[in-house]
Amino acid sequence: MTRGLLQTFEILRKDALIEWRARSQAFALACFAITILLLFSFAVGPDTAALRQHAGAYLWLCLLLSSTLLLSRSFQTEVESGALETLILAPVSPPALFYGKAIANAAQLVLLSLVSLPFVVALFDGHFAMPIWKLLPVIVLGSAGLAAPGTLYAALTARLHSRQLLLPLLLFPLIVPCLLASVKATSLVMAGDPMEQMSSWLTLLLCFDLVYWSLCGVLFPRVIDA
Amino acid sequence: MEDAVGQGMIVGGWEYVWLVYGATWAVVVTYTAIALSKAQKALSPAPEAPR
Amino acid sequence: MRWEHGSLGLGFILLGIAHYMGLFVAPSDAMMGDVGRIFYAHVPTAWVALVMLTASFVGAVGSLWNGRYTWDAATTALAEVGTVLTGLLLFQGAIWAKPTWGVFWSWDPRLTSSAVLFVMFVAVLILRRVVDSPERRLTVTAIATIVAFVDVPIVYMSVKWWNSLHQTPSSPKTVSDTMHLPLRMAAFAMLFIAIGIAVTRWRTIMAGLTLEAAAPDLPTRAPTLSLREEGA
Repeated sequence: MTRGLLQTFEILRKDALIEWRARSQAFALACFAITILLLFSFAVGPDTAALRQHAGAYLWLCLLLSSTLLLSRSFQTEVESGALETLILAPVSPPALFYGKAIANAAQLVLLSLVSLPFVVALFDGHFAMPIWKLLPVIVLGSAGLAAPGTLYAALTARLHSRQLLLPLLLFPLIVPCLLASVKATSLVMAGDPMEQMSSWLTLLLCFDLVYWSLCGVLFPRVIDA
Repeated sequence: MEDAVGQGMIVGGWEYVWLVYGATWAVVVTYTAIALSKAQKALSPAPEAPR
Repeated sequence: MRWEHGSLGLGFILLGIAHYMGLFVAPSDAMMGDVGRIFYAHVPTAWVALVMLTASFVGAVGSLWNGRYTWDAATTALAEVGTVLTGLLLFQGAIWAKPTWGVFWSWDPRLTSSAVLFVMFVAVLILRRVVDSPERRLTVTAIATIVAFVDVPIVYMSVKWWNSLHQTPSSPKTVSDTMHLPLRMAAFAMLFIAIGIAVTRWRTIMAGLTLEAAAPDLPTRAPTLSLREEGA
């Protein structure tokens, strides 16, 4: 168990290092996310009320779209350098590989949302009726919900030419509950929660995360087997 | 037809019924036909010619 | 003539009788009038689609467990039939919704869950087509099917939750049907037809898999541009 945890941490550390060295890519991803937010604001138009009302939706859609780029890169370095096989042959337990990657992806998504937040406030006239730190659990749980199945599917489609089509095609319908709950919870933080609905949405997110973080961890070894 | 919503019993609307039943039969029959023809091609004893 | 052809024949006959009864013999619904007759086509489709997809899920777990291609073929055949029926279901639901709710689409939990289910399983079937190695295909199909299926109750719950917080039109659920017979008959009819098609498709897929195993270097499908796997 401790060995698995250590391996997970090692994978995480390795990935963080790779990402740090390639931080121009991270910067490009952030720009992509901000561009998406801009597009939403242009597409909706100057109706401030509509923009404010749906700010949560725009944020999460932006994250979802950005996640496809993030996730398809997730195993790219390994596939390209043939390192995926090496990782398996070396005594890295597949679950450790999965959780390390998934946590790395989730963390990047959290960072991306934090970076996008000021732009959400600026572009969509976001006011926060509740203290802004209440958004943090939503961001963490929501990003985790995208990351777990996303990492599984990223590995699944890593060697396919059509991965850029298949990854979103597989992922997007799957994470509908996560999207729904995250958007609702975000909107509640922004617009106020008179009827105390936050806990239901956070519970839904938590359930989704628990189910998929365990299921994907169980299935992952089979994905990298062949 | 839209006015009928919430005003008590809906009168008529047979075109919707026919559309649904028609679509159901169309899909089921077509799918059966395709499945059977594919099976016939795949399971017939003709030798597979190398491409 | 194989047994599945008998199942198909029986199914079609029963379906014809059931639909005839539903259309002309059964009384019209108290609230929905004749539009309620869609019930006899829609509910059996929903039921059989769910049965097929559940069976596909079981097949997926099984094929991961034992790695046998018979299970892989079964998973695929069942998923395919289930997907087609789910697509039909969405169409039926939308057409039924128009006169009863005034809109083609709404946030009904079942409608939304079916839509998500449909797209997910279409994705599974597409995924299957772009994987070359049969072993990998089995694994990939099974995993995607399991993940998709597990999501369905979660999707359903989340939409239901959302609905309880916003007033949205409730679904035309319990039609006071004084005639259970056409409903049950239609349900069994569609089940027989679905099983018949599924077994037919299973045989076809098995034949393809067997051919692939016997002559692995022979292209069994026409090469599709740039969808194939990159170097192993």
